[in-house]
Amino acid sequence: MNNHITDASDFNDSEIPNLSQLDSLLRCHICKDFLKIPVLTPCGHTFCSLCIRGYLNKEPKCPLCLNELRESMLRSEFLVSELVKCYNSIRPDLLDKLRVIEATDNDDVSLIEVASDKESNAVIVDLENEENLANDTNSVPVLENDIEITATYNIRNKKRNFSEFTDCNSQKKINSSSKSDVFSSPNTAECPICHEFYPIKILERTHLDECLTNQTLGISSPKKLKTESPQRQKPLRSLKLRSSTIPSRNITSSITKSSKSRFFGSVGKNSKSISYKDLPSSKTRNFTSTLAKTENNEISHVENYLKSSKSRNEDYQRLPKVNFTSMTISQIKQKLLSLNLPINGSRQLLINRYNHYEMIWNSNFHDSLSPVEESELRRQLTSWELNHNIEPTNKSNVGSNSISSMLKQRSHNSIENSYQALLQNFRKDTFDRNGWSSLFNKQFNSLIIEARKTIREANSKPGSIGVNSKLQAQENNIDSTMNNDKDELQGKSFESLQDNVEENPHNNINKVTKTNVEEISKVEVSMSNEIKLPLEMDNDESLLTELNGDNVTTKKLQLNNDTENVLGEEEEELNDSNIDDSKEIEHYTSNEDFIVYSNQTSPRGSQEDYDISKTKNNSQLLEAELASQKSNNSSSIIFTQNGV
Amino acid sequence: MSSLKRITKELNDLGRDPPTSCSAGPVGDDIYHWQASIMGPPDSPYAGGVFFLSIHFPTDYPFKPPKISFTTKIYHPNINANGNICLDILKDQWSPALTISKVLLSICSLLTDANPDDPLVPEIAHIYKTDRPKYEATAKEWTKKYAV
Repeated sequence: MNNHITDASDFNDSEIPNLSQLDSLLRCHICKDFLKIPVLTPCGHTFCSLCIRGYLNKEPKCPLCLNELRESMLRSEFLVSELVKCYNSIRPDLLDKLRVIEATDNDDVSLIEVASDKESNAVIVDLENEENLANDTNSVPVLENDIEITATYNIRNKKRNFSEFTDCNSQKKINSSSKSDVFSSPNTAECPICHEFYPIKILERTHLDECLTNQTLGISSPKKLKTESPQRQKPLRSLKLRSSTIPSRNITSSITKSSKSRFFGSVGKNSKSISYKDLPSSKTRNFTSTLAKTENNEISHVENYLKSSKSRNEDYQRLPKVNFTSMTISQIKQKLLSLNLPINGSRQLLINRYNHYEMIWNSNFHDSLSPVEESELRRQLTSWELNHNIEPTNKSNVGSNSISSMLKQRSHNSIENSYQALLQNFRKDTFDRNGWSSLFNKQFNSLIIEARKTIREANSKPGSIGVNSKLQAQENNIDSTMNNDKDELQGKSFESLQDNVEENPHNNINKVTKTNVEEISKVEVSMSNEIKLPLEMDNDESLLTELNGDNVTTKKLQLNNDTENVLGEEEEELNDSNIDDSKEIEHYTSNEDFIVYSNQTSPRGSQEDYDISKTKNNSQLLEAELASQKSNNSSSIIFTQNGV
Repeated sequence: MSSLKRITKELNDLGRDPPTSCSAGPVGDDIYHWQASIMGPPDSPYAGGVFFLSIHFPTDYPFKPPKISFTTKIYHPNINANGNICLDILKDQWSPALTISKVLLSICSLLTDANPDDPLVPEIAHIYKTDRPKYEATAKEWTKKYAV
């Protein structure tokens, strides 16, 4: 079995995101994995046989609709069973073939080499301004935009934007009529082989296979020949390819503003067509070989389904539920012996053994399309017992011991000990909340950041803009107080802190840190290049926070160039938060604006100075942080704390 | 073990598609013991607070509900001083089709809309029903004191 966890969201980034629905429909709602030996309930829900039988032993109701349900009501679903098996067998290929082209770097390289006469990586289509591009497109009246797309960029985000841009422009010029219209309809997709549009379901189930078969047999549809031939013969000379680097900013802004949204989706189509037309021969061979395999599987699944009723095995009677309360231990043993099961262990162990065996027996011989031998069932039972029939108390001890040993390898014994000590009191009044939060401060903080990120993402979706600024302001509020957790632990209240702030005569400076000043060993602001953020106050008093960058490396400047266009939004956010609570002190670490490193005393009181000059020397650290934040593509706020 | 697989799957899903304003993850190396955080809903007296919860998965999860309790003190008719939560889906209405993500969202909505008719702390429920402003003031105060 696959070690990595598959999920329906795997398809979100593919060319047919709707496949994620199919993927999740074929999963059991109990184990969240693909259905194994699916059974149907009278209420119309489908689960894995073992999952639902296991649950019904505890609760006699359907997990989805909570209606009453008993094991005898379950009916096997051979069709779904074969559907899942079939889907599982083609899923990796599907994912692979439907991957958006930007993820397939290797393919790109090979294509570039073909396309640009070995100028490969250095070649970048000149896009310095929109006019240039318009000229380009004009000069190529029948531009087969495919090739243009795959050339160039190695950086994924930009490449994507870029390709959309070129794509839409050329689309406009060419006025390629019907196809884009069809494509925009949500339930159709283009067949990657013959480029016809079909409803997704048909495409997946039948059409792809037909097409692939035709391809291997050398039969091509007339349409395919028509579209392919001009492309192959026409070299790429018409494209103006220059090896110049362009500020990516220009691209992104022009794209996003112009036509990204309108023509979104056509990228997939075009890039797809390339990847199949221009595939190197080795790849094509691969393709056909996997095809042959799929075809075989297909046949076997269908046959399995058709033969299913015949193969029902009547030799194996359904095992009954047994009421053990009135049975003596020897009677239970006799029962087990008649099934060739071991009879060692306590009474409870014997009962558990029978119950589980009854479950896998019935599941195997009554639900499964391809039942296994009795001996295999006994093997399954043994392995199940190894995992499950340990006494609960022992088990938890074993668990915590292994955890503790692992923890000891990684961290201090003291932390582990206090963790265990705290955990003991967890459900009592004496539970030491402060100790607990100080112990897991770091984890808590990362959880907070994560949660905040999801809020921000949810708010950044269109439609909730009104709430957005308000929430953002609120979040900033929380941000600024978050680091107080530790102060609180040390017995200092939030109020005293605010008093402290109000006493501060310079309360129009937005970047004072919020912790008690004497506790801050060092606050250093390292800034991007001479960005000034005008901050409008509620009372029309305009503030100017000047950010003096002294230790800005050239690399950082580059980064700032990239992100400058994001700054507009950033400023708005800042304004919001200041309007909302002008005296609230902001504490940001954000690459686009400025970086605040603050050091706080650790709970033990030992101070660890974080020297900014170290950071200066060690600019890699900064770079890494900047990069990571940039990838988040949000004005995320991260607190750097020492001595936690 | 099926529980282990299922919990790992949920952890993976949380990473891919995190629920709004909640987060959760294992404590240390114990996959059966998680902690979670919930941001106080903006339209509730708990706004601005960050509440932490501890989650213990039983070994027969998902057949049995996870044990979830607040570690942050909170003033709420359905949450007592030990952090225990009175929520039907954590007890008799549990279904194996539920996930931690869904449960956390339910707790979020419990913060917004308390259920005073099935209280865990009758005193707070009484105040909630008779003197709503007082309840909200106290809840705000506790949030400020313990959850900010």
